[in-house]
Amino acid sequence: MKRIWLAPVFAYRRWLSPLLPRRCKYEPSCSTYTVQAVERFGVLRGTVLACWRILRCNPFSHGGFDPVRETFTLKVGPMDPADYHGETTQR
Amino acid sequence: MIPIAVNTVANILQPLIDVANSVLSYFHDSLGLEWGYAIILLTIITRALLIPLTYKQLKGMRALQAFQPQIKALQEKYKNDRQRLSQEMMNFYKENKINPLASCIPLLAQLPIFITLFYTLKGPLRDDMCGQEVMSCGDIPLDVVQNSATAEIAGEKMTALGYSSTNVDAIVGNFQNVVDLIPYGESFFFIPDLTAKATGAVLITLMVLYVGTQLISGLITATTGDRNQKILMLVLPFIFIPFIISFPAGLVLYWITTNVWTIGQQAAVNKFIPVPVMSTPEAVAAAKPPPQPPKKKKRRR
Repeated sequence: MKRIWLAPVFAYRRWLSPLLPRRCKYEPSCSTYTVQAVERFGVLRGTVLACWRILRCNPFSHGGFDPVRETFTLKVGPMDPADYHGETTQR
Repeated sequence: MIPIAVNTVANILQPLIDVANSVLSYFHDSLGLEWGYAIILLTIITRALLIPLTYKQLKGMRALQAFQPQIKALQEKYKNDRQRLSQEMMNFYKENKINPLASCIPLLAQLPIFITLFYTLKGPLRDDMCGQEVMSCGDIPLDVVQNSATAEIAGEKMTALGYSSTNVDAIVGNFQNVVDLIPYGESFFFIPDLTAKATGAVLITLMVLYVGTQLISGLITATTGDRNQKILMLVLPFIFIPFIISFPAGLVLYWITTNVWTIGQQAAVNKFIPVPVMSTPEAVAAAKPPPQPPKKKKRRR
């Protein structure tokens, strides 16, 4: 089910995306984020997260590092990569 | 499954279809443009509305130059971890509010516009164009009507072809109308019917124009030196051909127009705004040693 749902995204990533210059302001990019979110939270919640992410990837945002979180929440946003990799606490 | 999906898409987009239809009708009825020019004007306006976004993006790219030293430092620090490097780069763009990327929404927004135009051309516009509501334009045996000396002869021929008497009466009643309106409303340069699939020489011309403009716009906007991607880019327009053949000719007109716009816009950008040094590892390797940033800042002003 997840695979079927994600088929258009895979097709985009395989065929179209390489042709276009990078557009996404976020890391991971919206398509990678969609795949990860659907695989982690299932079709419904994953798609909600993906739509929310794509809406945030608009011309007025500044982008940033915004990985799929461990737990499902809509309170997401860019974070410091150092926090994500657990480096801040080590200092 | 597929027809249901198609209907759902058409229903969701109905407000947009109505808007596109009334805008096109306005261009045609009030500005007196031919339908083909109306489609081109709609395309141009849509692309012109997007200019500020392109400009914003270019500004971001230029702003990057002032941050070259920091970016180089990041690249040095994470040169062995590409994933981490892109994370840090995006974070850096965010912190300094200089993200030069275009964002995903404008790319995805093109899809509904395209689908809207598809349905507009297939549905409401088709009837508007020939001013004939009993039969849609494509169903009127144009050659029969136009090659008949009088309305009665056209009527007899249509009855002989098996058209229902309601249709025959309506068409014959509007005989003069039909003959006058159809060539004016639907044709555009070499395209006989904007709302129908093109055929024969017209189709070939349209495909040549489409593939040509698509290739040029692909080449002019290309940022990658990767050979496989270039090959894919050259092949892709041809892969699209089987789909495009079944589109209404007006949609192909839209596509060609938007490609021409892309080419013109990119050519203008290349000419008037020099390409800044993008922060690829190769560019960094080729760049001169760093103690220059103050100069660059001044030059930017």
